[in-house]
Amino acid sequence: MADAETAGGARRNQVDGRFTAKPVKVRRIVAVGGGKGGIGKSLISANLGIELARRGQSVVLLDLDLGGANLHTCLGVDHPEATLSDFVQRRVEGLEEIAIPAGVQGLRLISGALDALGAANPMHQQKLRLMRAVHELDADVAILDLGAGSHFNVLDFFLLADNGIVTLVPEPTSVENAYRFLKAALFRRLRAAQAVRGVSWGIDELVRSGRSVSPMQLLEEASSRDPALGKQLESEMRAFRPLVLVNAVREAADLTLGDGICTAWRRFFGLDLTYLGYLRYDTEAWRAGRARRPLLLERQDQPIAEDIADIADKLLAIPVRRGGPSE
Amino acid sequence: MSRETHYQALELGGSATPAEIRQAYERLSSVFDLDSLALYTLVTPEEQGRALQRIREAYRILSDPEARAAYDYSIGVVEAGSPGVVEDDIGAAPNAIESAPPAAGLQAIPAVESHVEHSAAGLHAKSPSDEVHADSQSDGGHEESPPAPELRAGSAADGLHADSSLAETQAAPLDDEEVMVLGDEDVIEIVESGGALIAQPLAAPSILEAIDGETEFTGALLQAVREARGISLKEVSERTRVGMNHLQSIEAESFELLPERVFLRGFLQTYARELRLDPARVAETYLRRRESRSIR
Repeated sequence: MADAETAGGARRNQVDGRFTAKPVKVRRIVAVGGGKGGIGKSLISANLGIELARRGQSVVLLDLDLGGANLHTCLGVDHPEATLSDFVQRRVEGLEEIAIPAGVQGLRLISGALDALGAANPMHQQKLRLMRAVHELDADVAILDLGAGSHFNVLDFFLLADNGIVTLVPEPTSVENAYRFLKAALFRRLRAAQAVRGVSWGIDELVRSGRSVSPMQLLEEASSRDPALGKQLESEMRAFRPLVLVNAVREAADLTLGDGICTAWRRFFGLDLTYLGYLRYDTEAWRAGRARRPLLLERQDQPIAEDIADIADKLLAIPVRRGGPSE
Repeated sequence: MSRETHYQALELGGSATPAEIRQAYERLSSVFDLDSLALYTLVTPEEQGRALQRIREAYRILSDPEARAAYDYSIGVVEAGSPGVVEDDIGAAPNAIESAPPAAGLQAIPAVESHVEHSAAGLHAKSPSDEVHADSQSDGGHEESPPAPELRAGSAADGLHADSSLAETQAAPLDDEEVMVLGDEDVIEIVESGGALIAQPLAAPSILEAIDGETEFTGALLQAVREARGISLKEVSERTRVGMNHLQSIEAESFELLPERVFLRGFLQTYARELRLDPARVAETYLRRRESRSIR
């Protein structure tokens, strides 16, 4: 299978999902993922983009939901003629050419492919080319709106980001999906790191065995086989720092969920998470979506606008660390 | 897992105040609670039980000034005091206080020792949750000796603990007893009724004392416990957001009106917590009772 680990090229720079030796131009890459569909990923991406653009940042939104691109709908933009499929099929050379104004000063949208890419997964080389192009975007922030599921193509874009946001709603299935998503992303990252360092932490064996093992159990098993290897694995695990965002919060108990998840998943699974914030449930949010008007433009005085602002504050306060892979 | 200190278990620094210790304990108790959404379906009840057990053990030591002093000495916490678990710049637990010099924290303890000691003793002797929860689970993971973790207990405490750390340490013992023995809703009722209800929680324990780990909970028993504690159904419904009709059906054992097992289980646990009963035991015995009925 065409896989990140087996690809030729700049091996040294594959950790962190970065596939290029060139310096990254875009200042911050944010990915919004979360495993389950219908939990507001596009809504969050669009409104976060609007909020950041309003603060004077230059923002590019990328609709990477290759199966069901709908970000343009959240922004109230007609589906543009030029889309990612033009880029993937080399009808255009760079992403800048297909980035269109999205109704707010400083905000541009790269629309998802409704056709070509939707049916099939992009070929590996196409994906690499897209990843490099994201790095080269001339913007302060690129926001990647990811598709549902934990397919490795989704995971690779999540790992590519400086800030990977896992979104969930206060429902058991969503929480469970978020965990599976993060675990799959971490394991994929670790496998890539393994290949780069030329070591084995036993992840491939684990995947083949079909056992369901948490990151912490993986670490314990690796450490008991070889403490030095365990240390190495632990430092690699610590470098994976996703952010948690809870959407559609309805009651007081939900407010503590994000914090609780960060605490509990650190303790039980060894995941190092940071709680980014919550969005209060807003029936109007969905109505605004249907009216094809961006929520944040429509409803600036609503609680959800405050929530978005808090999230933006917290996100921008996180430093972007891009040291190459540890030596 | 490598051996962590009791402070690390509660995600605290070595200079944590008694109030911070209790807040951390309550926060973690609700996170690791058996029906916590954060862990639902992701870990086994046994794993969760062990985690709860661990923080209870930590709380038991750290909430008792003498035990804490001895423990501090044994781990040489005098200059440590940094939480190993939280090493993170953004995700640090809000309770972790690292700036205060550890020495100050330790010096503060002898000053309040007599108060706190008194409360700790009172707490262990009087807390109804002790009697109710002891040996309640066969797997041994769920017994509760420290106070039942409840958000409202925390929020009631927050009001009293407000700013001054001195006032805080002195207020803590009193606060402990009120919250644990009466519950804040009792306090409110007492205030409203000019103290007339004081006799009730004290007289009531006869029924509460009869409850142990072997108790089979019925609708009537839940109702009796609720009445003994002087709580109205309406109050329970408002606080828990479980509908009045469901609560009534639970008490009346109108099994045919009650929702499916998974939902009912949640209602029962919520209701049990409100009555300071062991949620797992209540849900388990009540559901068993319902099932045995429906078979006949």
